[in-house]
Parts: sequence; C-alpha cells; structure tokens
Amino acid sequence: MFHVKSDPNFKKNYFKKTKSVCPECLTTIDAEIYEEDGKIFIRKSCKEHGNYKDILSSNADYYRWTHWKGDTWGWEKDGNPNPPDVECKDERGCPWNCGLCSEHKSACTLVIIEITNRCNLSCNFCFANVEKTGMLIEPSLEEIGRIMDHFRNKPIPATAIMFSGGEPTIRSDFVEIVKMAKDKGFKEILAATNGYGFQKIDGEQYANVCRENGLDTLYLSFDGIHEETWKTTRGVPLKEYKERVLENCRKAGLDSIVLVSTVARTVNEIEIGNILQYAIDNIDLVRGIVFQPISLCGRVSHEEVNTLRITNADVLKAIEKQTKGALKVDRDWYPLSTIVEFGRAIAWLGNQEPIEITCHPDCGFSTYLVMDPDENKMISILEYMDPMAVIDFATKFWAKLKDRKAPTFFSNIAGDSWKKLARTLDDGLAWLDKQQLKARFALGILPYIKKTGKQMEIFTKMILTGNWDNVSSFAYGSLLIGSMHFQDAYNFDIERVKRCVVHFGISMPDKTVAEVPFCAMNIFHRENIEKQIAVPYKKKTIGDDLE
Amino acid sequence: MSNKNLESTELRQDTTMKQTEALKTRIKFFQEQQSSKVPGIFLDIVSKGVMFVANVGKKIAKVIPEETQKKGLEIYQKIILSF
Repeated sequence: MFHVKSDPNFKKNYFKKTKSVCPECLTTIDAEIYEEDGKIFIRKSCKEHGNYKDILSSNADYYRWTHWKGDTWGWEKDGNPNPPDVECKDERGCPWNCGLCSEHKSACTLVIIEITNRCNLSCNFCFANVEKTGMLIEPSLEEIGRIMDHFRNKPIPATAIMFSGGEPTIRSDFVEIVKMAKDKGFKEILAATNGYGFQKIDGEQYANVCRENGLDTLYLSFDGIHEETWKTTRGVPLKEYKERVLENCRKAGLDSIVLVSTVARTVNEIEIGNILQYAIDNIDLVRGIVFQPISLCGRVSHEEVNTLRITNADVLKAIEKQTKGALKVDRDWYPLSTIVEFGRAIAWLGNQEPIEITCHPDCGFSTYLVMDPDENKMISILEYMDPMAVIDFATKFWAKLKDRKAPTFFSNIAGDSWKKLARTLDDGLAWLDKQQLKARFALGILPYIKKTGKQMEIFTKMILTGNWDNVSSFAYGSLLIGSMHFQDAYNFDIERVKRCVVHFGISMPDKTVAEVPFCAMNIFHRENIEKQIAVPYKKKTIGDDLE
Repeated sequence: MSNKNLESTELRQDTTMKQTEALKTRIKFFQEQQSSKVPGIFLDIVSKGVMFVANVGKKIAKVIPEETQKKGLEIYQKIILSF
C-alpha cells in the first residue's frame, strides 16, 4: 500500500495549519495538525480557555499516505457541490452559516432525517431522548416530504436517505415514510435503528411490509456479542433482541443489514473482531459493518476525552490484531474518497445519477471482504486486483470522459423536415459510443486483475451494465467494512466539515429546509435548531405505541 | 465501565452453507435484473472472455521481462484512452 514511500515528500513530517474551535466556547480559532512520536495531533489555543491537544491518528505513516498527492491524483478530491442554499451572513464564516453556503465543497450523498426523538431504550450516552429533555421533535409527513423534495430537486440530487431518531420504527407511519422516499426517487433507503420494530412478535410481518414498501437496508446498532457490553453501552442486555431482529429479517427476505458499532476505548474495542465474525456468520443478511469511533459531543470533560478517545487508525489496528491479520492496515484500507472517479465513470456509462463521496480523507476508511466461490472463503477484495493501478486508470479515464458530448452528426446535416429522424440516428450513435466506451473501461482495468474467477466475472458485468441494481447485486455475499469517525469540538477540523457528504435535513417553522452537514449539526447547530422545532412532550398520547 | 475480561475470537474465513446460498442468491438476483435473456447471455460471454484474456495475459507476462511489460502496458493504456 505504501507505494509512495520512495517519494521524498512522503517522508516529511506532516504539518498543516487549519481552523478549529475552542471546545469550551466554540469560538473559531487557529489550529495546527502535526506529527509527534509516530502519531498525528491537533493543537489549538483559546485566549479565554487555554490550550487543547487531541489525537487525530495513532499511525502517522498511514495518515501521511492518505494525505499524499501525486501528479494525477490524491485522496483529497475536488467535489462537485450544488448551488448554495443560503447567503454567508454570519461574519464568523464556516460553520456558522449552515444550511449549505457557498463555502461547502461537496454535494450530499446521504440524507439523514431524524423522524422522531422518541426511543424504546434509554442509553447512558444519549442526551437527545425525549424522556430526558421533555421536548418532542417529530416532523409531520408533510414536513418530511418537503425535506425529501429539497434534496431530490437539486442539480446533483441525493440518492440515499436514512431515517434516524430516537428510534424511527417507533412511528406508526414509518412504512408510509419509507414509501414516500421510494416514490420520490431515492435509490437506497436506510433505517438507523436499534431494531425495535423488527424484534417484536410480529417482526417478520413488519420487516416484510417495510421491504415491500422500499426499505433497502437496516443500519442496525450493534456494540458487541456479549451481554456485558450491551449493559455497559445501552443499560440493558440486548443480545437476544438483536438475534430476533436478524431472524425476522431473514424470514421476511429483508436481506441487507449493516451492523453499526460505536467504538469507545476501554468499553468495547475488544469486541471489534467478534462483530466481524458475527457478520461473516450471518453473511446471508449482513452486507457491511461500520465502526464509528466515539464522537464526544455534549458536555464531556477533557479527561473523559483522553479515556474514551479512539481513532480510525486504532480501529484498523484492532481489526488487524483481532482477525490475526486477515485484514491488514497497510494493505486493505482506503479512504472513502478513493472511488470518486471510478464511481463517476460507472455512473456516466450506466446513465445513472452519480454518487459523490468527496468527503475529507480523515472521515472514513473502507474495504471489502468478498466470498470467493472458487475457494469457499472470505478474502480481501485487494487480492483480486491492484487497487492503485485501477484507481489511477479510472481517474485518467474519467478526465477524458467527463467533457464528452453526445453525437450530433446527423442533426447537424439534416434539414428541418428530417430533424426527428436525425435525432433518432444520433441517439443510435450515442448508444454505440457508450458501448465502445464501456468496452474500453473494462479492457483498461483488465491488466490489473490479479486473480480471475467467478467473482471477477460478476465485477466485469457490473462495469459493463453500470445500473444501480447491478451495482447493488455485487454486495450480495460481500462484506463492506468501514470505519467512520465523526468529529467533536476537540478534534474539529474545518476542512472536514466543508467536504461533508452526510447532511441532515430539517424542516424549519418558516417552511424552509435547513441542510446541515453531520458534524456541524451535532457540534454547533443542534441546540438552536431544536429550540425552534421542538414541542412539549405529552407522553399519554404519543407513547402509546411503545411496548 | 471496562470490559477488559472479554475475549476476542480468531476470524474464521471459511464459508458455510449459508454463505454459499447467499452467493447463489446474488447470482440469481443479478440474472433477474436483465430485461431479456439476450443481454444476459451476451454479458456472460463478454465477462468470460475478459477473464480468458486476463488469464492468457498473466501466462504471457511470466515470460516477458518486467521492463518490456511496463512499456507494453503504457502503450496499451494509451490506446485504450485514445478517444
């Protein structure tokens, strides 16, 4: 992986100036990201509250590699943002002007709508629960529809949407919300859930109805396989609860579950390998695992930060250690932005809406374990191909492809009475052109295939067709493993939030929609926004569908 | 708060019957996406063809010096990108 080690620039100690905030008063202040003792830190100083230092990565080599930029490409991708929603009126600048302002550099890839803050659980760390705040936040169907329209009507429309909470399946109209999202054209619909609706006695039927109405994936919170872990993280034992969720989804054919594990040092870091094994053992349902190093928002002391803080690099190291090297830090993991040009080329060739994961390289890392039908074994996808060479080729290919115009040969020479026929002939030329470009793309990747077989045949078909269903079908029997670290005020880097691709959508009282990047919402805007949209909670009428 | 007494497991990468069934589901799902049989057969032929060429390429590469391979690959990529 560290193929750039011979580059003299790669060996230099990492140093970058950026902007961050004081964790105490949230004033924007200068910050430095620097290397020390093989690790990467951020340091900053607030005139009023003093000095702060926090770790960004425990692996300086890996961090430098993910920030390397070569002649043709690097991991920090140029985004393709939508036009701004709001003017930059606040003189403090980013991130105080959200909704999206002209400083934002990426389009939204995943929309998040919090459809309720009611929940059947009362987790220790959660400060948003309606039972604790006494204030209900629950947008109406009309408001939810308005948020969806906001994201779908943009020049680069969002393709994926996630309903979160609270616990989204507590709402009795959850299925209606899912159907609305499908009807409005979202391609991938996810529920960030603890599994409440799916673990109930009629959970199989519930899963079936959800699937039939368009729910694609459960983003299922999953902290470990031991009850001791669940009691620590959620206050109650949930092992059997989660097993009921999987069993009911299995019976209902809702076969796309992503296990989401919030990882905190000294709490459940030891469960990382167990979760991976659990996913492999349930590979007929589980499509992925997302580890989320804990983001310390809310009132958290500096001391607690030092105790609980775990970085993406720590998670990757733990995976290597706990899987006895099945997934290696310096071979298997790539920043999420790696596939931007590859994805753009596939979308262009398949006439699809592009998926623009142009987030900052620090935001997340991912890899694939795929089931090899020839060996009956789960192995790293990187054993099949040389990823750097494929990405390099895809980048060059996209550079030539992006400005390509549809043929107008016949339209240019035809008279007015022949225009319709000429357009049909030009459409034919365009089809032929696209087929030859698909063939070129597949042939261009061919030299970098390291291992042939059925798996690569499926991959080739995916390139040749490029439509959404076929891309999704590649995920069957494969396991996407990712680590995504959301920011808090201690490790906040303004460059990350400007590139954020996961955006909250909130319907405001004046009927506008606020589009707010994920980390900016949690650190800066949540309190103020919720004051405007929350209403007093009347338990008797609203909690009646809880068990 | 600490769960240090928990044990991690050694990853078993061997696939089970459940996983084999999952792959069959995936292939079936993929085939069902094709609107007609002709493109499906066409895709099968092309993808198998690509794999065949990749295999032959690998065998040939073993007898060609690395430097020559590198130059050949540069020329090949230029041809592919000449559009």
